[in-house]
Amino acid sequence: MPFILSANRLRDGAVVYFAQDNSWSERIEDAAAVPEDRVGKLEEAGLDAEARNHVVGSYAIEVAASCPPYSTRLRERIRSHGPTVGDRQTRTAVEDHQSRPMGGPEG
Amino acid sequence: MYVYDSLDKTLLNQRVAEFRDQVQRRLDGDLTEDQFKPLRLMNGLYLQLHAYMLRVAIPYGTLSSDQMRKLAYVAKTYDRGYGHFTTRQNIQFNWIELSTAPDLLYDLSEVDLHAIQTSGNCIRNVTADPYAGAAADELDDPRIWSEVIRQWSTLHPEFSFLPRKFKIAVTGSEADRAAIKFHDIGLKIVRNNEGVLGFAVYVGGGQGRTPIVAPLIKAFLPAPDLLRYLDAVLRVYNRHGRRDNIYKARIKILVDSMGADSFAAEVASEFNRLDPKLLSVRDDDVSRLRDMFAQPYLRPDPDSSSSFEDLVKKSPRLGPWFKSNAHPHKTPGYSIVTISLKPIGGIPGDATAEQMFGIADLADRFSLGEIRVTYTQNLILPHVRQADLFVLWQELERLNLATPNVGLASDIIACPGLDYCSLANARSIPISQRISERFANLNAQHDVGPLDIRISGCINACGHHHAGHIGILGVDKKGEERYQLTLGGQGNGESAVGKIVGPGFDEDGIVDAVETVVSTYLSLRTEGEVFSQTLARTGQDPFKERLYDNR
Amino acid sequence: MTIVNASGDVVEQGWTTVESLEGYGPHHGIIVSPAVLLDSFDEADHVSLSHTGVRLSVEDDVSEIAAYVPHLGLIELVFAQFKDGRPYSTALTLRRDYKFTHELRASGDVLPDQAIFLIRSGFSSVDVPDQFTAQEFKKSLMAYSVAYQSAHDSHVSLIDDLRRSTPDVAAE
Ligand code: HEM
Ligand code: SF4
Repeated sequence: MPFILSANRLRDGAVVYFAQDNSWSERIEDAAAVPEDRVGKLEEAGLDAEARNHVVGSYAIEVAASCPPYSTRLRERIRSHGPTVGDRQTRTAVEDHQSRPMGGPEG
Repeated sequence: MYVYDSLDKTLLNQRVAEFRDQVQRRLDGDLTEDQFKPLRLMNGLYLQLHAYMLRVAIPYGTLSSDQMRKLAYVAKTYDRGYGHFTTRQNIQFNWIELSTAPDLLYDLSEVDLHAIQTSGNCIRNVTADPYAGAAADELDDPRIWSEVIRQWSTLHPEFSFLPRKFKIAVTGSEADRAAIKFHDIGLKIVRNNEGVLGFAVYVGGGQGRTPIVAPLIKAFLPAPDLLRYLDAVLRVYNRHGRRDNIYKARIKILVDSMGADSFAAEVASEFNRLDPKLLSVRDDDVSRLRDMFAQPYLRPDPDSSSSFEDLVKKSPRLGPWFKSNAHPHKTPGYSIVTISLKPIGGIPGDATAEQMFGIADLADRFSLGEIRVTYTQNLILPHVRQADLFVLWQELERLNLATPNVGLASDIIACPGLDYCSLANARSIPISQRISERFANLNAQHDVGPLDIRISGCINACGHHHAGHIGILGVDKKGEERYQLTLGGQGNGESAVGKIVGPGFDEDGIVDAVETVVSTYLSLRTEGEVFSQTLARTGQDPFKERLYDNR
Repeated sequence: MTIVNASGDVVEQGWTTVESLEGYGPHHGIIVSPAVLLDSFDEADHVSLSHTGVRLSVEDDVSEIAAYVPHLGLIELVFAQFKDGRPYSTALTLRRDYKFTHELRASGDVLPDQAIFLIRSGFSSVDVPDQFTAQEFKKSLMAYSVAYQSAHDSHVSLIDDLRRSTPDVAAE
């Protein structure tokens, strides 16, 4: 199964994914998926972005090769789609989270 | 309430400025994340799953209406329009940005609020009985002594890098509403045989993966010696507490391994070494604080007294609300009113900015501008004239804050769990919502009687599940959420740790299991027996049978 | 190596840390381990001790060198990790119970943001770790002009009421 790279953005803590164009996007759809033998490279990109204080706590996530990438871990699905709890405020939170424009290039 | 003087203000402003500088250095890359993390944590700023989370201290659970308005403003301005009141009498904001956190803290400081020591291995925000100053059974106002401790412990030079976090709780009543024996230090205000005011000191309680009810370390500590004794306890802990294993670092492990008696002896010898002059709490300081906390005189108003019968006549829904959500005040004709933050199917402890603004206004109209936060994640208006109850209740209904369920099955304590928390194994909030919906019939809840259900999303036990009559612990079993059930915990008065019943359940199973436990109780109870009494009488066996045998 | 004093100013380093006494006379201003102190020094030789410092790790027990303490010229407490706050208690114990009045130095893993805690616990100098500067320590020391508790330093203003009930230790 392929891997993607995720982290939290330093400035606002938002969940971000390392994208094809070396930027960090808030949308898991944009995440660059790589085969297992290239995870090392992916993680290097994460450490590099941490060293340059763009993101914190980067790590690779194993995902199913679907579009958007699907993690078997509930934790990752909650990170990408927002809290599962459905009341008025948090539904907005989830919508916000999904409808925000793509994060600008930061890498 | 306590009024900040120039020293308090200066210190708070300097703290805000210091943190602003620390954040700037981080954003500029002058501090690495490893260096910055302990600094932000000392100011209550966590990085959670989706964003930064800020934990704001509500000292000993007391808020003024203006402070509540500011929290509402913060929720609207810096968050997504809501906040989460926690079991530590704090409020947490879930969607905070690092870059604007310094502005947020500046705004809070305008009403003397802050996030100092709401995280980190230091002496945390002191908690106290939320009925302080209003309860009839109170020996002395615990807020006076909590404020003494707040000042002494704030930016304490010696005790800011302890082996682990340190939580102190104070109660002035026999009926412990602050769960003091589940704290690192629990203080109960008592009088000795000569009538002298002092404290019974419990040390080494806690929850987490090793739940322990704190043993009594000193039966009577004269009040003026409070800080000197705390200083001795903290020094013994700082010196000898374990630092090699984070799970064994709390003082409860030290007390347990030394034995309560030798721990007490070590503290006593440290206490005796300390110059009594240095830390003694002086009478005139105490009386100054006592004056600040004294409530404005409430004219006893026995004519205003409302009985259950009177109120039911006004509205059939008002009677049950009065029964579960109002508590007798020490002044005749007044009530202590609990605002339930547990609407059926809602998120325990969450309040929207609109609700917070509304509560602030109601506090001004009906409760001398005072609000309290309970560790059960509800709010309290402490001084309400009973003649005002009907109008207050109508206003609360309008704000969706009048659920008549305090102390009942749907008054569930739940931590943020996997929906927000980066340490979680499983979700807590959806489970609490589904249980609450299962018991949606409020009449039935009133019939079931006092029932305390508590849920934590991992063994850290932020949801106090060990101390619930029914406790639920989320665990991760090969990537699946599973829930363990414990029965027999007790959070108030007689503290007790619940016992695991048997194998865990999945999400649907745990909701059914709770219902099975409740129906088992209903079939077993004798006249007038509440859940905890039935369980104590029968033991877990009949419950186990119903839960597991007919599977 | 940069040493700052309790005001955050850089001061001349007059002390040398040595593993053994070889090549050093008794008046050299040397910092030794507790083992060397116990082995090679006489607790009654106050003159030599005043030119001697001892360096204690977080695990070392002050009571083992109790007889030497009041006469030592310097005591250095090494922080194993900035998160390990034991040296704060040791410092206060040295000042309060052992009446140690000479230089008390913090070294090892300390952060500029902890400077005020160090000084208020009784340290009188800090060995600034390589990745930080003396200025950072000084700036951090200036972050606060007030404090709630009494402490060992004297630059805090302890004003009225509750604060008055906890007089400054240093004022004795
Ligand atoms: C969301 C971020 C949170 C994190 C990272 C967190 C972390 C922890 C940890 C690690 C412990 C175990 C401490 C130990 O045993 O040494 C703990 C205990 C506790 N936390 Fe939290 N917690 C969080 C949220 C909360 C919330 C929302 C509440 C209140 C609802 C809370 C209240 C408590 C309480 C009451 C305990 C148990 C008492 C104790 O042993 O200290 N925490 N927390
Ligand atoms: S109990 Fe676990 S999941 Fe719940 S808030 Fe605490 S750390 Fe998070």
